[in-house]
Amino acid sequence: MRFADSFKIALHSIIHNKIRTLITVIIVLVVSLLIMVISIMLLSFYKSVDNAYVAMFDKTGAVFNLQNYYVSADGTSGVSRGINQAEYEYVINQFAPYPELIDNAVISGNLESYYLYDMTSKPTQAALDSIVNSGQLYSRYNTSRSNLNVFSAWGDLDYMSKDISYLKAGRLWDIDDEGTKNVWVSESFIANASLLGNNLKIGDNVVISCQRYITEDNITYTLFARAEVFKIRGIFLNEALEELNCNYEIFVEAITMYEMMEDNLDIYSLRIISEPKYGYVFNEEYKKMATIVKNVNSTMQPNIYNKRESKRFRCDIVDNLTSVRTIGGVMIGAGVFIGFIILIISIGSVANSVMISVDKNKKFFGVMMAVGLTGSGIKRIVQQEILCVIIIATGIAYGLLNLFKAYFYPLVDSLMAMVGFTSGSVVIMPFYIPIIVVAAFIIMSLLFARKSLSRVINMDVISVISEVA
Amino acid sequence: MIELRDVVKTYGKGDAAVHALKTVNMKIEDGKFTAIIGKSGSGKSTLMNIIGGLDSPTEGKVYSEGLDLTSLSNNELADYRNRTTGFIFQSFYLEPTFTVLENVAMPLTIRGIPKREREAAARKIIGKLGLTDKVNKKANELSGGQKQRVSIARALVHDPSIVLADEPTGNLDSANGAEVIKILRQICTEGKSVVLVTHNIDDAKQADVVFVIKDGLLDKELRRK
Repeated sequence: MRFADSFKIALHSIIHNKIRTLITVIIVLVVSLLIMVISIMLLSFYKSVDNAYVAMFDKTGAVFNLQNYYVSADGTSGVSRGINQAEYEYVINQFAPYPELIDNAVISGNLESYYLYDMTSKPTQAALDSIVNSGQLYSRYNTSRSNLNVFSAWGDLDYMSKDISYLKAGRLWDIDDEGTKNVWVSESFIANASLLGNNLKIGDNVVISCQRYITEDNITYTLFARAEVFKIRGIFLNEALEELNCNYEIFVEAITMYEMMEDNLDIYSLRIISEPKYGYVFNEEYKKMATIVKNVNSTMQPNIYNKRESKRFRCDIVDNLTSVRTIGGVMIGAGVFIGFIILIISIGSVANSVMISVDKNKKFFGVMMAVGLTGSGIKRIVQQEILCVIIIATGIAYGLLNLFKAYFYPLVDSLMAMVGFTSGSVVIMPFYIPIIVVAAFIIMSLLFARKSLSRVINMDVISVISEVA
Repeated sequence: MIELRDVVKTYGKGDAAVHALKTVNMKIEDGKFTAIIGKSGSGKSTLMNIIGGLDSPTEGKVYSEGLDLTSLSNNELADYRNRTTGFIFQSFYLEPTFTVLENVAMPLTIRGIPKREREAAARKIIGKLGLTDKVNKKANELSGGQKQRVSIARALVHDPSIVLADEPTGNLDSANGAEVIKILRQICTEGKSVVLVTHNIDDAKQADVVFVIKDGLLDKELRRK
């Protein structure tokens, strides 16, 4: 039998079984609509998440942070010891396969304390050891750790890169200063030194001794100290620092401090900034970033201070996007599960409709077989009937969505915005969704209706005709 | 020529077995009007179904148009039915929502004949049976006699060599019944073999050869002189 003829017979059956067809069409239509809506919402969800994070990435870049964080048994929390240089280098090495991800690497460091010496020559080690023992002997001026800013020449020159107007005298930091023993100080530092009888100016040498405590077994403390001669290159105005909410008095560079303190620079935190590049693809960038974060966190040694401390290498975008995507995965899983259940129920209905169709057309099929139609010919007619119903219903669903798109898409958008998604992320249904829905319906319906169809193929003409007679 | 050799048909198994045909041998000659008569349950309809390729014997051989029907697959049997035989049923078995034209053209539609060709053939046979004015009517709008004539037209449209009619007058009044027998007789004169299964003696009297079936066995073979 020609396709057009069997198709015409299938259509004829659909038209002359109005109620059954209508019920089946309505079920398939509703399910198709639900699946399409769920698909749109899930796609929009992904777009919304991506939009939000792409916007964040565009604006701020990705910021990777490494610092120790602890939670004590009493519930207090905070940042404990800094990372050491080996750990810092390990993290930096993780970026080696993706050098494009490092735009700025910022190290914030602290020393336990520092002493300002006589500003003319570097003290001997014996003198330094004496300081360790007394802390008084050569002291001209001392201040707390929070007054020292160790900055990185690679980037975060927070204060160093400001306008020249922030300075009372001297010049701003320059790339040529990288690794040099240059120092920038505050106006108050100069004032305090003056009180101690030292009238400092640009170009003068100062000796800065850095030292830190090393804790061992939580009991024994030893002091590690080093000193170097630095040259004053700039003096910050007090007002400028106040404006910048900055209470530092001495600004030295990280690389210099590395060399000076050997492996004892107390790095408070490491911050790596990755900026979006022209023509970048967010998901690809995200994958690289996530890989680095995962590698670092899976290999970094746990902190030794107490069991409840944690040390994590964090990237806000990766952390947040990972958790959002995890939630998204759960949502999608739930959506797919609900869609699947709905699909199964409706396919059961379609399969049932097929069975009814077969029974109802038994006499007709029997007569067709008597005049030469094969079992597979009848199967083809039934399949075309299923195909027609599904295509008609899905087509109507698609048509309805398009007809009411002026209301539907803004509604979905506002619903998503209400629960915190980025507005304007609603996705117009891609063409492949209805095709997938139709394909899923057809495949599943034919699978479910297999038993009915095999009954048709193996139908005994005589019994059918005599049964009907 | 249709030949049945030692044909046995048994339904069911063991104690529940029903022997519809018990070793039947017969030959149906080409171009003859053959009637198979017998009481209800004698096995005459089973015999017709086996001759028409609708059913297969449990044992024995059936030869028709040079084919051993018992060795054919289901699809080959379907093709045999479509090309060689035409069926006329007591209950007409028309598709009520199809037009007369569509019902009549059904065997040609199944064979894949193009629409124009099959409709021309159908119109021709419908005209011969005096139903030209009903050609676009739905089958459920026809009288019993008209339905049976449509059924006959459907059995003839593809020009089969064998026409099998199972109690074709059973649902008709005597006038329409006589008209149907007359048509069958006429078909026969056109060189086709007609096999009429009936329990109506008067109908059978019109046949050239009459086989009497009794309890699944061929009881008598009567020939018109």
